[in-house]
This record gives sequence, structure tokens and C-alpha cells, in this order.
Amino acid sequence: MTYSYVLGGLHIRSELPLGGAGESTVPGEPDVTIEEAAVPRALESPTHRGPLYELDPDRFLLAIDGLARVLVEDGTRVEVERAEGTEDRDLAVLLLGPAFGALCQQRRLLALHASAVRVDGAAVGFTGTSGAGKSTLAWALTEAGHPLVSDDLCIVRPDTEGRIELHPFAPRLKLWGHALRGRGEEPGGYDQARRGLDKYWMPVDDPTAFDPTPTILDRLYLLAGLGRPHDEQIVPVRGLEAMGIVANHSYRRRYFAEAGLALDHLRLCERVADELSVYRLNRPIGLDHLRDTVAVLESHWEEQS
Amino acid sequence: MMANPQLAERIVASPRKGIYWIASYPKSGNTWLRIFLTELLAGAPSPFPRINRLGAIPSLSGRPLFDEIAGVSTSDLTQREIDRIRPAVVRSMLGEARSNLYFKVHDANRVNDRHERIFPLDVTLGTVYLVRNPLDVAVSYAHHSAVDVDRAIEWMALPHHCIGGGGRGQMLQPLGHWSSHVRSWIDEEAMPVRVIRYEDMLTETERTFTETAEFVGLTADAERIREAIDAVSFDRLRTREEEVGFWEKNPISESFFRSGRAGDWADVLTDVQRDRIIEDHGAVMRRLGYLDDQGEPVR
Repeated sequence: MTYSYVLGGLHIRSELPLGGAGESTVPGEPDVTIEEAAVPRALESPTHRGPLYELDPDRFLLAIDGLARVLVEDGTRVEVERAEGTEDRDLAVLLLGPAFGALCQQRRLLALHASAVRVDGAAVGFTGTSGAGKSTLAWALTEAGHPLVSDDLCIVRPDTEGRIELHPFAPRLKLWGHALRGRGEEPGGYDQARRGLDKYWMPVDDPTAFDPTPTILDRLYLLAGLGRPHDEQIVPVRGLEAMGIVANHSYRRRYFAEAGLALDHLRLCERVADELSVYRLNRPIGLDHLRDTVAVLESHWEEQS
Repeated sequence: MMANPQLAERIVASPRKGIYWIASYPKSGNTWLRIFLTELLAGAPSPFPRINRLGAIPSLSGRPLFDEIAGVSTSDLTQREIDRIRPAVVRSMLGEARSNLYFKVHDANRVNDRHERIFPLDVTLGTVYLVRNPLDVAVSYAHHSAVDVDRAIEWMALPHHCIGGGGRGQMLQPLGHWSSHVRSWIDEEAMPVRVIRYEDMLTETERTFTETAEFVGLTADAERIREAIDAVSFDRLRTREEEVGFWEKNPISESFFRSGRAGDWADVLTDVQRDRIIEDHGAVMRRLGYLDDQGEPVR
């Protein structure tokens, strides 16, 4: 069985199903293949050895005890060897996460750790640290009528005119059980991301209607943690600070640095940050305030249009 | 300048860099001590306590830092997988550091399913364990979590009580029963553990804070210690929170710095609640001087 996807602008042919990612049929040779195979225990003379992985500019080897070993090479091949008891959905989480981060590094592509929705024909991204509420906010915005563009990862590339193209990731949201329950949804109706993990794939709209073509990204909001009612809620960020937000929230940026590509990474960040309007979104934390945050954003967009 | 000659010897004898764990059950003075140590680490006095700049003594359970070093998202891993990778990630954190590291932890001292220590000995220099009268912990924990006191008392007696986890910014931290949490740290013999009672931090502030600073390898003259203590007085912390807010406050609670006093329980707990806590934790309370010979709470 093989599956075919377009994720982040890459045509992927995989022996393994990739969780909630919607399949797309694309003619021609794939950019990336994913196969199950015997994966070596170590790389020969990598430039970096981390606690769980080793890498050099063209190779990446990840080993997670009791789960799997994953090898990514030349930005085109992914091989995975599962540990006993590992299910396809467990592998999907690794393939869509760190393995995709390695593919981006090897292809010199910038992936923002962000979710995005469509507003007035362009994409608006939301980034923030783990647990900041990117997916939950995207969910609330889709309910308010703004179609989902991408969840968790946004591959961004300057187009020929210098605008930033966002190549979407997949037509689904990955949500925590407590976020679902907190908003009155029962997680039982959705595919669990992994056994033993309270996280679920929520398809958005009709997955077969997923449009993998890029959208122009023109605004990026950083979900800031400290927000009190009297704070200015949306603060524009410019220059080095905007670039810092892009750099700090680019997915697995360390892989670039550890492969000796820190400067290439910064140049990518600079080009992206230059083109975007970047804002800090100070908002009160918690599901109870989600509706207010959506209202604040919508009036901000109203003013801008 | 080295205030404590024994400490000087120890540092000379063990020049390796390592990690100090600032460990406690929640609501036992950890944040106060971190703010004090941050003040000392900062070198120069600051006009207000740096309550939102505690990055020099981060929580080990914060996902952003841990995920960065691990190179994978812990929110995609099960608790068992996270516990297995923790020792390697902690070693890697120290490997990248230029000097000693300090981490706040609320976890009980424990091992993973491979019987490896969650707090590996080979990178540990020592642990400061803060402990507070559980009668007051229950009151403070209830406020912090916006639950009633009975619920907090129940949590403290659960053998598998945890905090964090899920979509929050913190990984799951198993605490367990309050008494077993305390024992897991104060009975640890394989690493140096300095046990500090919150009540002593209040009544003998200068002595306890000076000794703690020395224990974790931070030396400062008495004047600087006194300045730092003044800078982080409870009133100042509360005022600062009112002015700018506090990052680490539980979003559902009113404020983080609430009373800070010892003995508040006497005005809050019913006799039934008090007796229940003594029933659950009496042995450890007695050991720490929170109960007298008659089994009555020490005021």
C-alpha cells in the first residue's frame, strides 16, 4: 500500500499513512519517499550528536527508545524502523514532526511552528511556544468562519516577487482532549493521535477538499503568555524583534545550527520577517477567553481592510 | 570571597560543573527562593524583584526549553517515553552550559521504567528541598488551583497525583502523596540534599537564605545577601505582581503571591480538615517538627 500526500509543498509517497493528513494524488515522481527499512544505529562521523539524534547537513538519524529509529537523507528519503508494539499512528507523529523538520533543514526550507487561517484571501499565521494555544485559536477562528490553511507547521518560501508563500501542511487540527472537552466536544468522535496520548486529529471541512496550493502569508501573530485586560492587546513588532520571533519560532531551528547552517537559517528568517507584518498578541490565557481573543483579532482585521 | 571555608574546599575538590535542583512540592516557597537566587545571580541590585525573569532557574518541565534540547516535541510523546529520554536530555543541557545549572522541579525524586534516575547523579551537584507545613500547603494549594480546600487535601493524599501535562506549557510532573514526595527527597542518600523549612525561611530569613546560597555555590557578602532579601520581600513581590502580572500564575487563580505567612491554616481549616491532614501525613509532619509530642500542630 502506498499513500500520496502534498505537505508543505512537497509531494510525498509513503508506505505509511500519515495520521490526519489528507491524501492528494499528484502525477510524476515524488519529492520525498517514506519507507520502512532497517535503519543504522549510528551515522558515520556526523557533525553533531544530540541526546536523541545525530546529523550533518544531509543526514539525520533519530532514535527514540521503545518507539522507532528514523533516518532522513538528502532531503528526499525517509526510512523508519519501528520498535516492537509501535503503531502506524505513532510513526506518523514522528514523520510529521522531527523527520519533517529534518527534511526542511536538508532542503533549506523554513518551517514556522505556527497555525494559519485565511482572512481576506491571504493567510494569517499564529506562532508561539509549545502549549501557547496555536491550534486551539485556529480552531476557534475556523468556527468563526475563517478557513484553516495549516496547523502546527507552515512551510514559508519567498515567491518570485518576494512575497511569502505559505505551503500548507494538512487539513486537520491536532487538539488536546482537554481543549476539546473544555469547548464542549467529546474527543471520542475523533482519531486519537497515539495510544496513551490525550491528543486527537480533528478534520476541518472536507479533507478531500484540501487545497495544497500555496497561499500568501502577510501577517504573523506571536501568542504571548502574559495578558491582562488593561494591556494593549495587539502590538506591532518590527525589525530585529520581528526577525527574532520568526527565528525563535521556526521549527527545529537547531537542526540548521547543528548542521553548520545557522547563517543560511538566519537569512531565510530575515527574508520572511521583512515581508510580514508581525504582531505580539497579548491575551488572557484560557479557553474561557478564546471568544474575546477572536473578537479582538476580527476588529483588528476590520480596521486593516 | 568565600564566606564558608568548607564550601571553598568542596568547590576546589569538585571543579566539575553540574546541576542544582531546587525541589519542592508546589506552594512551598520554591518561587520565592528562585526570585532570591535570581537576584543574587544578577549581580547588581534591581529596583524591583525580577518575578518575570526567572530564566536562570527555569522549570525543568517547561516544554519549550526541553523540546529545544531534545529536538522533538514532548507533547507528541507518552509519559513513559519522556521519562526515558529525560536523563539524556538533562545531560545534554549541562553539556551545552558554560557553568552550573539550576532547575526548579516539583517532581518526586524517582526513576523511570528502566530504573534510571530522572535526576541523574552523574550531573547532580545537589538538591535544595523546600518543605512547608502541609496544613498551610493545603490552604495555599487550594487558592492556587481555585479549588476548595477539601479537594486540595484529597490531592495531597493521592498516591499518583500529578501536575502539568496535556496542552499546558509544562510536561506532566508526578508528585504522588505529599509525605512520599517529602521522603523521596529528604531520605535521598546518594546526593547532597539541603532540606529547608519554609517556616525557617520566614523567621530566620538571613540565615536560611545565606546557607542556601552557599550550598548552591553562590557566594555573596552579607550586605549583598541582605539587599537581595529586602528586594524579594513578600510585600514587594505582591506589589510587583499587581503592577505587571506574573507569568507563572495559574490563569484560573486570582493572584500568585497571596499571603506567604505561616500558620494561616488555623483561620481557614475546619477541625475535620486539620485532622484529615494529620491522619494522612502525621509521621512526616512529626519528623519535620510540624507536630509536637502529643500529636498537636505546632503553631
